[in-house]
Amino acid sequence: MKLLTHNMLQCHVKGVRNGYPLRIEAQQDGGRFEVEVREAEFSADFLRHILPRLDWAALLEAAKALGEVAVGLPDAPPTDAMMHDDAFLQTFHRILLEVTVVEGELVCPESERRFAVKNAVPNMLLHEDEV
Amino acid sequence: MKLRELEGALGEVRPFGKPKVALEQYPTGAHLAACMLHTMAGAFDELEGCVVADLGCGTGVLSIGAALAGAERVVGVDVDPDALAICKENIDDFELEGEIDLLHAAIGAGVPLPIRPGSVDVVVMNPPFGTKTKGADAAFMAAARALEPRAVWSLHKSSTRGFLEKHALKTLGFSSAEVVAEMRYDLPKTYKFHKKASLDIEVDLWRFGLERDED
Repeated sequence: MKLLTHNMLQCHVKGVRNGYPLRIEAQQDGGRFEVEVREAEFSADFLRHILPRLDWAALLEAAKALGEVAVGLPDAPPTDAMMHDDAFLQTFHRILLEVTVVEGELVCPESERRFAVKNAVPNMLLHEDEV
Repeated sequence: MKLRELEGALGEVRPFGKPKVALEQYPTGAHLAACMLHTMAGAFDELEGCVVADLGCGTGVLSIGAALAGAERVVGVDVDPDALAICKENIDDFELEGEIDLLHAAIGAGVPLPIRPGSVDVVVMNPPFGTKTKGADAAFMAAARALEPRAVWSLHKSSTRGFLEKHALKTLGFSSAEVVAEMRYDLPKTYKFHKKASLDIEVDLWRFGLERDED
């Protein structure tokens, strides 16, 4: 799961009103937490296309949860000048599109429901009583 | 990428090990998938630079094809962990781990997807035709509509054309519903109850459009 995907995900358990953003944490059983950087093709145009649709606060919080590998985002959404600065765009690209959560858990901020991420795939299948 | 190259590449995608009839797991043929994606990318320019969701991604033919044909990022969603495992192998073989993310979630009536509306540009899908679970095709359409994409590209049995148009425009509130192409789904014998070695089913390639403020 890349942080772009994380930015899209919300808890959809029945009754939850504000299931966004999901916190990224280590797995509760065994405490596994694994993050890696998977190289992907860089496109400045795509970053500029996607920026207005990102929830910046959610991205920032997710990046902070990942530590050193995802450092370098500003507190406020990047300015137009930054979106034309190659060094910044490279950092933004890496954090949004290359940093991958391989093992961990996603936690709903309202219900505290935990969703496992295994082998980079979030499992957001609901139980019968959650639908 | 040229149509023939795309079709050739998709011919390498590994199929289902043991397809599950309740989920209507039928392979999306390389030819059909390539034609579909080529139309999206070419005539409609709805792949290049896009974030695409593939609902019911199965073994990943459409996800991989979308990434090869120019989509910037793809999220493949499926309820079946076995399909997702094969899909992952396929993605690794094509070295598209950077371009495609997978999500394990159900797509069905009354279960919203765990995806924030407006976060994908385009949905592509080859949904169940609803022959085993009645209404499964309509449920996929509703799930796709809820994501508020610019367009949903989907394959459906031609025999349901009248119903689908009404369902899309009246019930789901799409702003347009258009059969872009009539195709043939060459269905190889997949399950024991299939009597013939292969069967041609007439399918429609639909584009359901949504007008969004930002576009």
